[in-house]
Amino acid sequence: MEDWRKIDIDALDASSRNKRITTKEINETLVSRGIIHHYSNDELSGLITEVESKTYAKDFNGLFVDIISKYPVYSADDEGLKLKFLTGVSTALINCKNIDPIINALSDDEASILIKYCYKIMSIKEFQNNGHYIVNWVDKIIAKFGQGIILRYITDRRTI
Amino acid sequence: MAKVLLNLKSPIRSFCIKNDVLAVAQENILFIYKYSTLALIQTIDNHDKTITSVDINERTGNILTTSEDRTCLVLTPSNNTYKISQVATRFLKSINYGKWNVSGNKFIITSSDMGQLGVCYFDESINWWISKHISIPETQLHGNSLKKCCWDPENDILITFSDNLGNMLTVSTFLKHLDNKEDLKDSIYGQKFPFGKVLTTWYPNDDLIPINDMAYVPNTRSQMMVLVQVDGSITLFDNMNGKTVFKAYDQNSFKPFNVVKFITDTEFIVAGYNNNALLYSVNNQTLEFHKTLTEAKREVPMKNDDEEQFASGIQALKMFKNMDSRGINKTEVPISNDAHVMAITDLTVDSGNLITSGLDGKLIVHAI
Repeated sequence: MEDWRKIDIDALDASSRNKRITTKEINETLVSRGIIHHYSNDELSGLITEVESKTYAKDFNGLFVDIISKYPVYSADDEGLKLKFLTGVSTALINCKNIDPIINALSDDEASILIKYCYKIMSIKEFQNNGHYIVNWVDKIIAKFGQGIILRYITDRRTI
Repeated sequence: MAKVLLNLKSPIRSFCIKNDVLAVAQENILFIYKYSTLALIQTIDNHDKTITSVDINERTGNILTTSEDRTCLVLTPSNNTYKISQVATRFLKSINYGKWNVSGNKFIITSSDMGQLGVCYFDESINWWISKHISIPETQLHGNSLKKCCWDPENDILITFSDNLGNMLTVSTFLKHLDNKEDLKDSIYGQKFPFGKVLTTWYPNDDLIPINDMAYVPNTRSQMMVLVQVDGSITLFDNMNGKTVFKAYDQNSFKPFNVVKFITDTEFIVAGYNNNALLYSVNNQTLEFHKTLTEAKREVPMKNDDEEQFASGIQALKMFKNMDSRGINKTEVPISNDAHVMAITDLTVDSGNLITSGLDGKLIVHAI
């Protein structure tokens, strides 16, 4: 009587066989196909040091155009370290007072990456005290690149 | 000059015009008209849920409808009416799109059920339209819902489709008893095609954004394609090598497009959520915008007279003026009746005219 059911009818049920795809699965696929880079702890620590030193030296143009918008951290080993990196980016965004020349130097793809950081930082509670600085960045990016950049942020599956 | 052909109460999801027959899908009902006189030939209400697509085969005159009720129908013309036959699809979820091949002996249907594809043909031994399924390989991460697809114009056997994860595949639908091997002799994708073989699989633009529609660029031996994605982009894509050749955005609206269709060897029309149809062309590996083909909704700055009149109103009006002061720097001109006020869902070109359908229930013909 144990194997009385020869056909697995649950497998034929539409709700069980159409499983939902998770963000983690999407991320793993993107990494395995070489579409996005997976950061090890050493690589990310190096990047954090670079962000902090450029913020300290007030070289914001070099920081945003050459580092942050060129090497997006989509996937990393350690989530704590990723948060530390976001803290560094947030500090740089807040301390940078002359935004316009930086935004003018960005290409479409680079601006798409920078706005992903802005939205990510706005979504984390501990960064929200200085939210108005970030909103200012978002405002200026949209003014330069148009509302399409919001649509691209919403639809892109490569998320910070 | 635009002219409204039909003005229905519910959205038109899809329509098709071939051989002087106009088939329009509205909710779960299909209306079949004689196109030249707009005389209603027949109304089909066999579907229980929304009809998702309609297609007419030019050679046989057969009409194909697919629906969210998991069924699809083939309507065969006989004595000025249509004989209805249901297709045994065996899908457990909505069928999203259906398309005849050129010869009209088989058609493809895409479903939301495990991202499966159905190749349907008429089996004379049982006198029934049946469906043979193709599944995306398990090794490939894929979405559960397939969207539009298009037949390879070179051979009528290969099909390219995409899913809701922006995964685009080209597969073979070769059926021994229906297709001829000779048709595939010149194909750049190879020459040996068992049924269901996956020939190419790409994530165009590497962003996994769903693809709304796609079309082969004529005279490129089925190598180049134009894709429209949900992020509002129009991409010229090399399907043989998986490379994006050129990517463009509509700089006026940035809204996504629903449909792309070639009208000449180089020119194509895109239409969608910006309520307008736009003419683009493929020119030396780039995409070039030419003009807007439909009447656009215009926005003009508010006149001084309007502002003065507004300011001289009663106190409450002044209060509302202060409340709304951030939003009154422009006003919209009343839209003429012969323009779409909602997204365009489908388009076709018939004898030099562009015909578009919209979510506003209108079917409008525009002179190109």
